[in-house]
Formats: sequence, C-alpha cells, structure tokens
Amino acid sequence: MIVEIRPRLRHAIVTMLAAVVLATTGCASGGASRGDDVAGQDARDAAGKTQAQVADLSLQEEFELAGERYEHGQEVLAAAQEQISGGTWFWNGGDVRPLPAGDAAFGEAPKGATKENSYSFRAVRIIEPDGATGAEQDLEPMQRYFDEKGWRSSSAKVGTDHEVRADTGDGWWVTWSVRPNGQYSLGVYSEAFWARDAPELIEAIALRDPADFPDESQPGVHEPFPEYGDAVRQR
Amino acid sequence: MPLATQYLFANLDGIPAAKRDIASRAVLAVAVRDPERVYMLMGFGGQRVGRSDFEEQVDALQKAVDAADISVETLPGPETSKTAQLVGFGVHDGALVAALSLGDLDTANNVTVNVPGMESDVAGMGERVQAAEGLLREAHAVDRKQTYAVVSGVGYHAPSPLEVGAPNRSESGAAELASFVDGVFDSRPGDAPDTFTVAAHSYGSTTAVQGLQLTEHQVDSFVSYGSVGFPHGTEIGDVHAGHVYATAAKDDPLAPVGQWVGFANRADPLGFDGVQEFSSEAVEGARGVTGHDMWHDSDSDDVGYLSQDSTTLRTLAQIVAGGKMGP
Repeated sequence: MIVEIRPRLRHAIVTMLAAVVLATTGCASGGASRGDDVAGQDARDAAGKTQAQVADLSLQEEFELAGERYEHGQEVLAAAQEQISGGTWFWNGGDVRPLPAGDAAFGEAPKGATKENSYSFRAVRIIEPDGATGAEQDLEPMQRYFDEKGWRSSSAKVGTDHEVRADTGDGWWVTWSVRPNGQYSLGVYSEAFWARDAPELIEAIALRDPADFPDESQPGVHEPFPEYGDAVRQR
Repeated sequence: MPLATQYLFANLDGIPAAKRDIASRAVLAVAVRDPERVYMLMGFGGQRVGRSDFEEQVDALQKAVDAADISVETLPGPETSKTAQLVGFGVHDGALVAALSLGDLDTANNVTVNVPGMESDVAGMGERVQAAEGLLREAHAVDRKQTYAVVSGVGYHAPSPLEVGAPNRSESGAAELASFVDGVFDSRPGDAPDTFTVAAHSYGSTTAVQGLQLTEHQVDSFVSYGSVGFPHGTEIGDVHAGHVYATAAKDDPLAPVGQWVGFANRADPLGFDGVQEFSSEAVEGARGVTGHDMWHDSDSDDVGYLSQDSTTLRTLAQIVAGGKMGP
C-alpha cells in the first residue's frame, strides 16, 4: 500500500521536529502558563477589569459581582427576545451557574485566562414561530436590531443553520440561529471574567442555586441569582 | 448486597442504567472510604496502577460525579431526565475505567456515547462531563423535543504516547465498547433509543471504529474527530453505523502525528470510502479548532474540538439531534 504523506501531516512533522529542536536548545516559548499569567496581569476582562483588580476580592464580593453580571446578561437577553416575540419561549436549561472560561468563552480571552481563573455566562432560549423553515431571511429582524444598536455583527451558515451574531462591545455576544426544523434559538454569552479561583466561585454559586427555572416563559422572566447568604445545599 | 456483587452489577452491560448507577456509586463510595479494599477487589495488587494513582483517580471520579449531580439540575428537558448515572466503575486491561451519563440512559430517546483518546483516564472525567454538558445543551437547542443522554465513557485502557502507534489498546478496547453499546440497547427491550450516536476522539476513534464492527446493534452515526487513524483494511460497510463522519482541524498538531506513528497499522479516516468529512475550521458563526484536545486545555490557548462555540461542537450537535448530518 502506498502511504501518502498529506500536507497537514508534513506540517505536523515539521512542527514536531521544530518543537524538539526548540526544547533541546532551551528556546521553547510559552511552555508554562504561569509566565503567561504574569504577562497577562494587565489584560482586561469582559468587564474591563484586570486580574490584579480581582485578586483581593473576597468570595462574597466575587459572588455578588457575578450576580450583577448575570442580571445584565438577562437584560440583554430579554431585550433581544422582544425583537422576535413577546410570547412564549422555551428554556435551554438554567442560566445561573457560570462556566469555566479561559478560551472557551466568546470573544478573545484576556491573556493568561484559563479555566481556573476566569468564568463566563450563557443563556439560551428557543422559539418555534408558526411556519418557520429556517429561511435565511428570518435572520433579518435580529440583524436590524443589531444595526440599530450599532453592534458589530456577522452572519454565516453553520451546517444546516443560518446564524447572525453580534458583539455588544461591552463584553457580551448575542446569537440568533434559525433551523430547517423550525426551532430557532437566541443565545446571550459573556466573554471571560477574571476570578481569583473560578472553580470555587462556580461551586459557591451552584450550591446556592436551587435550579428552579421554568420550561417556558415570556421574555424577562429569569431565575433570581442566589444571595451569598442563602443556604448552601449539601451534596 | 456484598461489595463483590455490587462490583459485578456495576460493570454488567445489559442491565438498566439506574441499577448500574446504584451499584457503581456504592463501589465508588467504598473506594473513597477504603481504597485498599477496592484496590484489591479490582485485582490491581500493586501492578500497573499504583495505590496512590488509584486513590487520585478515585477521588477525581467522585468529584466528577458530585459535579455532574449538580450540573444535571440545570439541564434542559423534563425533570425525570435530569439525572447523572455512573454506569460502570471497574478495570479493563489493567486500567481503572468508568462511564458517566448526563441524562437518563434508560429512557432518553437520543443517546450519545463519547469515547476519549490517548492518555485518557478516570481522573479526567470532570472535564469530559463538562464537554458532554455542552454537547447536550447544544443538541437540545437544535431539537428540544427529544430527551438526551450523553455518556462520557472511559471504558478502555487508553494508550500512553509511547503506545499510541500500536494497535493493542484499541483492539482490546473495541470489545468493551461494543459490549457497552449493545448493553444499552439490550437493557431497553421494546424501548430502544430513537437515535444513537457514537463520537470518538483521537485514539478513541481507532477503538470505536473497531468496536462498531463487533456490535449486534446498529447506531445511527459514528463521528470521529481528531482521529489518529482507522486500521488498514477497515471496510466502512462493516461498521454498524448508518453514517460515518470524520473531521480533523488543520491546526490540530497531534492527530496527524498519531497517524504517522501508527502508519503501519492505520491511516487517516478520510482516506476510507464511505467516510463523510465535515469541517472543524473557523467560519463567521463558529470558532475553528486550534488544538488536539477534546475540550480546551487550561495550559494553552487552544480551542478544543468540543469547546463552546467550536465548529465541531455545532456540527456534532446537529448530527446527534438529527441522527445524521444535514436535513
């Protein structure tokens, strides 16, 4: 059998050899994330804060700050929903618990952000307009809204879905996806926020969140963010 | 019930997931409380998995189960589907193995089993479960009328980098995967899942493509991502999947290296007739994959295959929800 070495493979071999050479000559860069953390001390997160500015926050202060950000995200979501319908939307799960962020969050992560030191929010709602078939023109109401707000936006086809998304410019993204099965979804996602200890913060929120959310609701209905003093559920 | 019997139940393919979950959690609880007892029960006896490594993996698995129990409460879908099930906790080929389902594997009408690759072990279950949650939510956004279960399976002894060129681990893991997949179907007589997807990352795809030739039941789709290759001579028609898909990002540096070190045994999936390719590159509406990881890595700035908003995750969710790619 003839084994063909594809361009990607050749590229990988060259990369691997280069990495070996760099490592053995002591010229490798970026090997330790700690160095990136130092370099990224001034990098600003979705709220415009640096890592140093959150370094001295208590867990309660971080918790409350996260709550303010969650509430803002819910306001962005409700306003975008109203552009499509003030009627019933289906929930795509709860929104309160943040995610470990790093580069998994929308937007460009601040330099040095990892799953351990940053978090993000997401909230998605679903609607099934009568007669919807995923036509590209069904993006237009949201595109008009993005234009009115002056948000930078782009549209694309991802697999079977048409989508338009916008960067609100203040650390949040809004996506509107239309699908051939008539199930359309609206998503609001934050960029990464610095945290002293993201897993600790996320756990603190999750253990106080009763996860009591409806299957469906009108725009503006959202699960209250828990209070730091709320009972902590036992595992 | 004696611990040995619970251990047997925990790892018995073909019985209801709810029962396996009870047995698996019971054995895990003992492993956390009395590691030596379970260490000996599993027959490690000081070989292959050292005692400290065993304890580290057990503790990490318990944390992953605890985290899954919290995260399922926020999943979309009916209350009855908001459950995490530990559907296996045992040994394969000298390695600790486990499988954790988000969603009710006994009743979900849409089931996905995600098979990890090189160097995957039980200690990494937490991250794989987060990837599973992202996939489940994305699939629900595509089709909310289904109920989903996504299993993160670490069901075989994944190879170390030094072993990745050899076929041994995939061959021995294939039978385990086939038994698990058939077990899901067999545990639900008259109520089989409407849609079943097997997704596999890196070396896991080598294992899965062999495993799916051994199953009695046919799945809807098999999706290989970041594959280190399918064995030479694989006939896609022999794979018990309605559709076989493959994707690899051009900026994934390890998948082609894995193919290269194993070139005597296997080759790029895209070279096999019957495999449909989809892209993992950036488009305006989704991010391109820039590394090899299943999820994103703390120590790098790479986008993994199942990172939030990646092209691969978006497309895989469409395949999971629809049973195939496209309308």
